[in-house]
Amino acid sequence: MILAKICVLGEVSVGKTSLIRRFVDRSFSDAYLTTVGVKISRKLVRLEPDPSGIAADTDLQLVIWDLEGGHNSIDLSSTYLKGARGAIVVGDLTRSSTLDQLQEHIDRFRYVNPQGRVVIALNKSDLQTGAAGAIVDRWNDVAGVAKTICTSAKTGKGVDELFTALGMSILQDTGNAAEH
Amino acid sequence: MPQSTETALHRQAVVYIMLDSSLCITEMSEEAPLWADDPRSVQVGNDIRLGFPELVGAEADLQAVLEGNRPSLIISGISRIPHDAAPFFVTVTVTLYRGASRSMDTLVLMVEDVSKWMDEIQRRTQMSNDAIALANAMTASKVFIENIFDAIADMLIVTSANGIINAVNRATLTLTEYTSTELIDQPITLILPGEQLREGFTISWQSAPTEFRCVSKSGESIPVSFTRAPLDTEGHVLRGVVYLGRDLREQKQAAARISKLETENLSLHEVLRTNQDTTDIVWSSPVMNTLMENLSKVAATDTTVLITGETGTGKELVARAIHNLSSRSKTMLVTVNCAALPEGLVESELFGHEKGSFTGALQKRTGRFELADGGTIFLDEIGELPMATQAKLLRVLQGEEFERVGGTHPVRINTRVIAATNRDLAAQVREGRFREDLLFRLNVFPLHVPPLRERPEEIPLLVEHFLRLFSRRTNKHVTSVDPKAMRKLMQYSWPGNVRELANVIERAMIVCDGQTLTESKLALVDVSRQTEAAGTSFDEMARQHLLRTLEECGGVIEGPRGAAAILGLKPATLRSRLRKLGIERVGGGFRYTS
Repeated sequence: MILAKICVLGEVSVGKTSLIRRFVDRSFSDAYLTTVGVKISRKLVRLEPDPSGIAADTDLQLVIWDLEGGHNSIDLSSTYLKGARGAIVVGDLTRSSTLDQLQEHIDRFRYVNPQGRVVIALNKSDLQTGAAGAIVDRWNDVAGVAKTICTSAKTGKGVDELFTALGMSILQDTGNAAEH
Repeated sequence: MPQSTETALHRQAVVYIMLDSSLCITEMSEEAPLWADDPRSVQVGNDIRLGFPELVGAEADLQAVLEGNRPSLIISGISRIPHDAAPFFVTVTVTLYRGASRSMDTLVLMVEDVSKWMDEIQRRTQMSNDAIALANAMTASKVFIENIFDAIADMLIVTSANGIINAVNRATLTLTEYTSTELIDQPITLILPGEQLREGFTISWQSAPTEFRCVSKSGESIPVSFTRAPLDTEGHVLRGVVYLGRDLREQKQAAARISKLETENLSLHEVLRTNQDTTDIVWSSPVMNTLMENLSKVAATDTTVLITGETGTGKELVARAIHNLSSRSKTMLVTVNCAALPEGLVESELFGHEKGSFTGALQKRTGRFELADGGTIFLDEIGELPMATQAKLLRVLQGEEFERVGGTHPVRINTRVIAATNRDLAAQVREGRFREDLLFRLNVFPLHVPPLRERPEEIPLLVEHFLRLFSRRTNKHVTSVDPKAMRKLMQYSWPGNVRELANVIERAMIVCDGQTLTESKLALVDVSRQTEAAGTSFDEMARQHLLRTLEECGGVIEGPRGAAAILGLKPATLRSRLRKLGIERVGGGFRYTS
């Protein structure tokens, strides 16, 4: 079993905690409670074989750090971010301002973990009325972003795919490191 | 671990856990598991990371502390949410405890409950974040509504009661080419100049769909159907108006396309009906050779052609041949028989009309000229065109544009005009029934189709052609014509020209039983002679009648088959009349001599 610390970053109220709750506890609540400090959750993920064979039947214990939203505690969060193998950077599809901040969160994470893997969650897709294809394409083209996925913590859409994608990416990194 | 250290740690009201260099628990406070994320995992000998997941990924930092390269590792504000107790926050601090020798150095993990401070932080953060969340929710709600607005394909405009634009959707911006900044706070008349602003509308007011001309930034006038409704009222006073508009361009274009297709369909049916099996011109005479040479020369140009000739000479075939030999052959040849159009509808038929331009104009109609755009229009019997329409036709010939009946915008077309008539247009001009300038415009390249009587040598060829043609139609196998019958056909004057010849052959084939067409089957009626007789004096008429009867009787006067018996006269009386009318026997027959 491989143990990996991952962080979930993003602006206030984009749905970071909800995504983790949906993934870990399979539940969702509309009640909004700000996350203060950090909440750590764990989830054992069994990765199915992929075409490259890297993730063949691998158990991955994800230690998920749910960080306080925004950039309020940047110095403190450097400690939180340290040692993370990957990050899920979350934006809210109904608030374009949160999407504008995605790059800043990616940079913050990469500054502490230059080799860390990043996937992007475009959350609240259940509330979004327009097509998000262009936004997904735009972020998929950004260097260092392994994948961009539209998610809904409310309906569960894309949530498992999101965490699995990050897990696969971390394992690929592990595989590549072993080869070198 | 020395007793003094343990006491010191307890005095600080925290729990402690001692770790070896491989991060396994060597010793701990009794309460230590209660501070862990997973209490059951916190046992001596276990990896500390099982109970304190916050240390996953911190291995390098822990190693630095152990090696004395870093004083401590502090991870603060970690929330713990036990299943059976209230949530709390802890801060984990890891420091080095130096043993008697380096190999005895251990890590000391201290866990402190910081809920008291974190709860206060959380309370304050929650308050500020609730405000942020509310603002976000409002923004999201506004975005949501804007998204719905923009998802509507129709125009949506909200104005104040006095017609100032408050909001527009994306469809409005696309259609008007304005930006939202350019439209907001502007009067609605900027884009709907025809809107009559009225005050005092009540909540019960709502307009039926009304067609407006919406003017875009570039000045384009776009037909739009608008429904207007009061936005809201306070004490029956209008606060604003919602305009919901639908772009009618596609609808109008579709209606025009349907109208054009319907007319095209009718036209094609007409072409099929009139030209089935008769699209080839058959000729052999020098006069027709000249005509066909000129035809092929003019066909290659876009020149207007005027075809003249008696009725039944094949003017439409000539027009069709010009079209087929021209560069427009792949497009439509639209045929219009001007004599067949009701006088009141000639203009509408030729040039089309706008919806509502006259009683009964329930929808826009595409005229024949527009239908023939890119192709050829054949105006048969042009001499029958009313004077008013002649003026409009002249404009088309001069400027290649016209206006639909009831229309205000000129329609530009590229249509070749071929006209035909069996009348003497010059005489009509003199009589004031045809415009001279139109005649000049039409008569750019005249083609005269000679009557059949001027080219009798073509009759055998034409007869053979019609025999072949009607064999298929009548399912008869008539392959030849009796010499006597052919002679009779050659001698006949053919006032109805080729059309009459075709009819005579078709009728004869229907009654013919064998493979050869005989004289008895031919039913020739010389209308021209009768018509000529009607226009002459009594003596001349009597003279022609006697000569015809004598010819039919082979010059025999007396006897039961003689001319006298047929005419009901005594032979002496007949002879007397012949003398009186100047008819004398010449050879085997009779002739008028003076």
